[in-house]
Amino acid sequence: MSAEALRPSFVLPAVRVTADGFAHAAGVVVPAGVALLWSATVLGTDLSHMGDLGLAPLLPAGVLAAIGILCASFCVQLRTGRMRTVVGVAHVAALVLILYGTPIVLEAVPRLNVTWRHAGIADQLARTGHIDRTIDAYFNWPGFFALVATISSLAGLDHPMQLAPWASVYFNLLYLAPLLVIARSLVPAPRTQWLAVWLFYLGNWINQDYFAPQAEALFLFLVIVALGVRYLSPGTETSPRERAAAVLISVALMAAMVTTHQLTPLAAFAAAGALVLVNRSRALGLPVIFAVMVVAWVSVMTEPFLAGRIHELLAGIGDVGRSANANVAERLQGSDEHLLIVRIRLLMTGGLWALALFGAVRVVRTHRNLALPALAAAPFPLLAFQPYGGEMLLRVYLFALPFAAALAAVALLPGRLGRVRSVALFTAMMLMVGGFLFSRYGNERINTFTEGEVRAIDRLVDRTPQGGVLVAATANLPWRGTAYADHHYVVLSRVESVRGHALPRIEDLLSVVEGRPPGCAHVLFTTSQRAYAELLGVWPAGAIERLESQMRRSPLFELEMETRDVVAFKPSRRLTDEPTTDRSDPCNTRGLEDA
Amino acid sequence: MILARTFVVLGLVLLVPGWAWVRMVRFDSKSFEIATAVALSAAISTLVSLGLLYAGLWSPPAVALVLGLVTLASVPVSRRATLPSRKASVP
Repeated sequence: MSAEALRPSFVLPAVRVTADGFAHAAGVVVPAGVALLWSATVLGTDLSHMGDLGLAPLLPAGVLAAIGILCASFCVQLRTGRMRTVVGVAHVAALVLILYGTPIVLEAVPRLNVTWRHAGIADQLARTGHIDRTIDAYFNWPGFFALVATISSLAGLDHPMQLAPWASVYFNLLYLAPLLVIARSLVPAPRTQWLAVWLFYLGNWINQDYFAPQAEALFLFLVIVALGVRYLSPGTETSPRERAAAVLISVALMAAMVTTHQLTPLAAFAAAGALVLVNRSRALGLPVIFAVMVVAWVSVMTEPFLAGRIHELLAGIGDVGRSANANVAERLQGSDEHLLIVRIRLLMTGGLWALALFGAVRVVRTHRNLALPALAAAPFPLLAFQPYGGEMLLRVYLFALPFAAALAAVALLPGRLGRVRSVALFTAMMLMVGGFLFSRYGNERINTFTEGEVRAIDRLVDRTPQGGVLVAATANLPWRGTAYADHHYVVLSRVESVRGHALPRIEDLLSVVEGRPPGCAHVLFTTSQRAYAELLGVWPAGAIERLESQMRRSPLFELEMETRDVVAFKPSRRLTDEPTTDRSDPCNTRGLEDA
Repeated sequence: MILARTFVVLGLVLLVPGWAWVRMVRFDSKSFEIATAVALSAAISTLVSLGLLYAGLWSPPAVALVLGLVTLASVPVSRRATLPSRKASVP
């Protein structure tokens, strides 16, 4: 063969290698550049103008451009058909940083009032060294808090809260490896696998990845499912010893999960059962083991919490109407902008599930793959189990999301990715990005707090004797981060709700604070409480302000503190009693229940 | 200093205890091997912390001691059970 004849076959691979090399280099350089663009522009966001549409309308053009470039680059990489792991990881890491890290770098203190409570529980365990199961439900599923107490104490941190700010970013990065294994085991083509992972992050708007037990539990859940589909599935190349090890690891993860969260173990049980039902698991006994572990923990270790509440908890079983009402109808209230946010969330949820349904038909018809549809459907029976405080639909969405996203990826990428289909895919991604930003950060006005609020609450807590009472209008404030179980924390909106009143009343305040010795009771109103009441429509607009002005005029209360963000009152002398002689109850609050 | 100590503690609590145990499975993905090690370490650390809390024996040194023992216990087991990596076994 002549040298001329050899040239094309010699040159073409070289050219291809160069083009591949360029694509792969760009696949790492572009996400890095996008992260730089985001970091250079994100701090230009002005949070002072935040309204009831949340963070999305305030984001600078640079941040939106960064997301657009990243999605475009991801589509280009998908078109190559051979996305290297390092390229996929670089894109996902940049996406997680931007989508989940933006509020972290913008907000002065950790977001979400529950974050403060969770840090406070870990602090309580670290300070006392034991678990008092009578305090509340958290102390009956204390796994996450015990782990946090251990880490923060060993690291010598001043407070567990120091571990909280970046939780959404590190939890979402932890989800990546099991998500990829699930996708590689159940989704047919490599580029569809990466799209499945990408859609998970674009669809995970429900804010359950903060410093919380459910965030850790979801990670354990994903690893259990990944072990199941990769190592326990019939037809995979695994030895009996490997399968035994995979089962043992799954059981160990489940053991930690049942101590950590109420709901995720049920989702893990449902997923393990679904894989057995569609013949994708050789570990036939695993769902039974999971069920026994859940029942054992609930019946033995949570008895102090369940006693007296069991009828209330069991009453919801099978009542789908009550569950639907609590999960959908009761959420359709609040300001006009908030209603728009709720509708965007419903649209995001419905849109993803419609795509997933389309993908499910395709994988069943084309690939005879029942595992993905079964896993996506497995959490839905939970809807009939309990309204879960109106959050069950959100949780079902989350537990189904890894598999629904994979099915949606199958629907969006059925075969070759040509130019037109790439543009359509990019458009779909950008729509999802918009939906994500409004859905996830639509409540940001109430999820964000100021340093002034935190400082003022800390000052009030510090000056309250053991067993004192702190009353807030709504539960949306950064309290209980310290002295979690040292005082009584009462929320007026819950008191009013129990008593069937439509407005906050000074009489109900009196019933909580009257008869306490001086310094033992404080009533505080914060900017974030007012925002919460307005945005979610807890009370008519101005209700808290009216109560506040009544208290200013009332001889029964004295203004104790007034800052830009916090107004606090204490009962006047006419309402207080002499200090008690009972040293174990200096504030005379025995019998008072938190609300 | 506190940041460095935190990273060391995170490694010791959230990586080391599970690492030797997960070697009993042949992972074809290093990232999933690490993720499983982190998950198992978190599970072990959670269960150890809870056990000591319920027993009224919880203290940071006690947790560190038990986690160290759990890690040491895995060494002979995993040495016997460790399989060649799946990639290496392919000719």
